[in-house]
Amino acid sequence: MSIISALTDTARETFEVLSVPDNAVHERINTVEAGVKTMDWLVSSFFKPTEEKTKAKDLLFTTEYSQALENHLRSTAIRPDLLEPSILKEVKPVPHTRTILDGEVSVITENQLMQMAAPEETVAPEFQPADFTTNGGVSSPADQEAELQAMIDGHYANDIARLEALANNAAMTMDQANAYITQTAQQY
Amino acid sequence: MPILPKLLSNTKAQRHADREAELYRSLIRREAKIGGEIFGPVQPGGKREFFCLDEHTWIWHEEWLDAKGVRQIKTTRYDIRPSGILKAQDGQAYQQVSAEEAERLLQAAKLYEQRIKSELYSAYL
Repeated sequence: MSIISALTDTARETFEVLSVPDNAVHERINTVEAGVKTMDWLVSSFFKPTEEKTKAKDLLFTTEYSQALENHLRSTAIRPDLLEPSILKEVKPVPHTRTILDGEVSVITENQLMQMAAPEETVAPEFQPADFTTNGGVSSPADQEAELQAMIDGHYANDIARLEALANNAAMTMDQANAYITQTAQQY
Repeated sequence: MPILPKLLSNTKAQRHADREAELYRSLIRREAKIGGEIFGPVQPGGKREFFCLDEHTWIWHEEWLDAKGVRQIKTTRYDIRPSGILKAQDGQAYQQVSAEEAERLLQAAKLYEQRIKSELYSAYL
């Protein structure tokens, strides 16, 4: 990709994000911040449990959330394939795109996969070492694509009230929204 | 309320909800793309996404071509629980994430937060 086209892509994406209602963006920022904060507490508590962290735990994990999760896991007998039954009804297989340069198939070695699994700077290769060395239980590409999409879709299907609140505060007109959605759909 | 106005009102509300849901999903897709870049380059034909689904759930999605040129896909879901981090992968049973892997996952999450804030949401901060 040339520098110019990369800059153009960046500018377009920035413009597109700027056209999203503030509430939607801040909702995402808050969610990610809360996600990192929760994980940060949990990871540090593995090693140094303290009274302060015990108190923090009550703030990060509400009783309702913990209880609901425990009930859910118990009712599904801890089977990941049944974690979100609702998503099974909403599976929309996404056409699989395959990118092979010049018709050649790229062969990835186990070592390369392990390197790929590590963030460049701080996350070591062991982050997911075994995950890419075995292929047991791998579903078809279409199923996996659908599962990933359904995770996102299913997550919001049960949260209509929050979405309605967002919609009420939305700054975009319907035409702007439709144009944005069309643009995004074309990109993905 | 008469039936027709009520129907129209419900339809409008649903359209709003659908639109907001789609916008929200679009943001996640963009984050996922950035998240996939923090683990280094992806091989030709491969694809990687890493994103925060909600405050207790993180997703890793990886596609690659195996030695026979067949596309392989793995989706890993990390559930952050009060008692630890559980990893669900490709329909297999839950695994408890080790402290070492949890530490690296945390580092990845922090990088993810930094990058989406600087590259995607800087205008809003």
